[in-house]
Amino acid sequence: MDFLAGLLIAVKSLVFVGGYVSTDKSTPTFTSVEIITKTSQIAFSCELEHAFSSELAKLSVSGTTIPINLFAELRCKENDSLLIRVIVKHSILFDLSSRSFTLQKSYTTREDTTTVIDTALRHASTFIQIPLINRNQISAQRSYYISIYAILGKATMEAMNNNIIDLMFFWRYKRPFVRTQAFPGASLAQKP
Amino acid sequence: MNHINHHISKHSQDMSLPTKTFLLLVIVVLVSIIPVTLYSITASKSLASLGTDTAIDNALDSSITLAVSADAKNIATLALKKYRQGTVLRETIVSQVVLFSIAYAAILILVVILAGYLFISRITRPLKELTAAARLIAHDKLTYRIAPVKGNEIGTLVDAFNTMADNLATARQEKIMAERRATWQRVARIIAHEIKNPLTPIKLSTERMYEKFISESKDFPAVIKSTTTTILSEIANLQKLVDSFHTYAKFPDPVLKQHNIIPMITEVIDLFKGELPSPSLTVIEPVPDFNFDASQLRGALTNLIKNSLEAIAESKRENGFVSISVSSDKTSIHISVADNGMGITLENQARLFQPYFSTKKNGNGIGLALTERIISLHEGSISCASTPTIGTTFSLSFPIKA
Repeated sequence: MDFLAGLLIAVKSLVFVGGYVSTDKSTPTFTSVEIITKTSQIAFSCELEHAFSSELAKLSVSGTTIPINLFAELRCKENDSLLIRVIVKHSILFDLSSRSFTLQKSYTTREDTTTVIDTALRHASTFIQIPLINRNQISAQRSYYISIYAILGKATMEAMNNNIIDLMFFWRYKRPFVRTQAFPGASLAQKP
Repeated sequence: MNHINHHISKHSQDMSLPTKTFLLLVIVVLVSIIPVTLYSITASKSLASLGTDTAIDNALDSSITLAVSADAKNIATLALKKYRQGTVLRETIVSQVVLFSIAYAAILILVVILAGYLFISRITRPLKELTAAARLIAHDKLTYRIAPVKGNEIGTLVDAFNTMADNLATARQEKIMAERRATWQRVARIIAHEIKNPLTPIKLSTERMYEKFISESKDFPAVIKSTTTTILSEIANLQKLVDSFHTYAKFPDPVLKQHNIIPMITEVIDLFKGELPSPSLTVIEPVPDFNFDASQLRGALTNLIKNSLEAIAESKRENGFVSISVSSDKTSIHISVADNGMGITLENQARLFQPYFSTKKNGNGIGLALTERIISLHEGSISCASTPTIGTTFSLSFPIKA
């Protein structure tokens, strides 16, 4: 009993001290994943919410390149086998002289530019119509699901003698993850 | 305020030594760690804000626009980049330091409290064992000993305790032996006396019979008849004495079963329905079941009621009563048998439960001795409170065991 009472006091004091510190590290999460069927391809779209905490947003306006890597896997539900893994990368870079953001996407050569930080951050965390697999690779007799996760890349810190730091710190080293419901291959497979 | 102080003081007095020591340890740990942690957090937060100024940011930003050459522009851009990175990194590093401080303080508090608890338990365990052992000794478990502890003051205390328990057990054993010896001496004396009593008439009758036979007396047949009657009567008395001795010596162990005692008491009272006065029963509920040998307790209770009725008859009281009451508490069942008979003198009370002691003309002194023995075999107790010419109360207690 004595020990429990002591432990309770200790935990209470920790909660008290813990409440004294506030850190801005919102947890990034995926909103709904949309599966898009094109003529010969299957693509997907998804969006990361709370990807940029205020600290990460501040870091982005320092001119530090912030890379977001997205990993998408299409798996067969029956045996959990991997059909394809797609890795795409969004990089956001703030040009200090022009005061504009440039967004680079690994799956296109086009670069988007904006001077509005909110727009830039939203675009960086939105992945639209990412090509996944050819429809003829899908079996109509099977079911499939897509799992997606994202990680932040590393960045060079000139202010720290060019040391490279892992930006995942800003996500508390937790990868946002989403997995779709299983869907029948028949709905996606190319009609013969 | 005084009332609160008194309340706290009373509580602290009630607390055991380990609890007091443990609470003191908790207070010391909290008082020493929490202020340091709070200070380190506040200092870190202040440090994070040092050198952060929007004016610097604006100035560096303007210097990019105002740069006259590409090199100057690059230098200004790098400066602003470093400044902004520094601001974010400083906040990040400080928040890490603060989190580390909290985690470190938390772990330290838990480790110190855990270690303190184990340490205090280790120190106070022998004291707890000593207390428990002292309680056992107080409850007659004289064979209990504490495992020896090597070295230190506790070890010496344990040795002293065990020696004391040894001495106590030896003294108790000697006392029991002395009491047993005294009892047997007394019993032997009583038996010798009881045997001697019938021997005299037997001897006299035999001598008379012999004289009449030698002198060829005419009334020899009549003398034979009367002396034979006397001799047989005295032999019957001797037989009775031997039987009672046998009964006491060979009394069996009780066969314990879980019952309620009230139906058994009611049965015994029914046996005395025709007697005057008729015994009355008062029951204070609840009276839980407990383990007893119904046959033996029936005998003991019958004997007590019979004694009460005889005491009332001897007092020649008209408004006599025999009152039996039953009650219980958390640990025991209590039965009392009270009467307003002749009462027992203080001197006789002291010998009441001794075998072959009786104040009655035809008593063999076995009844109360057997009653006491039955109660003892049930791990119970019996006591007597009596005032001569006023009355007597026998109080019986039996433990309730799960």
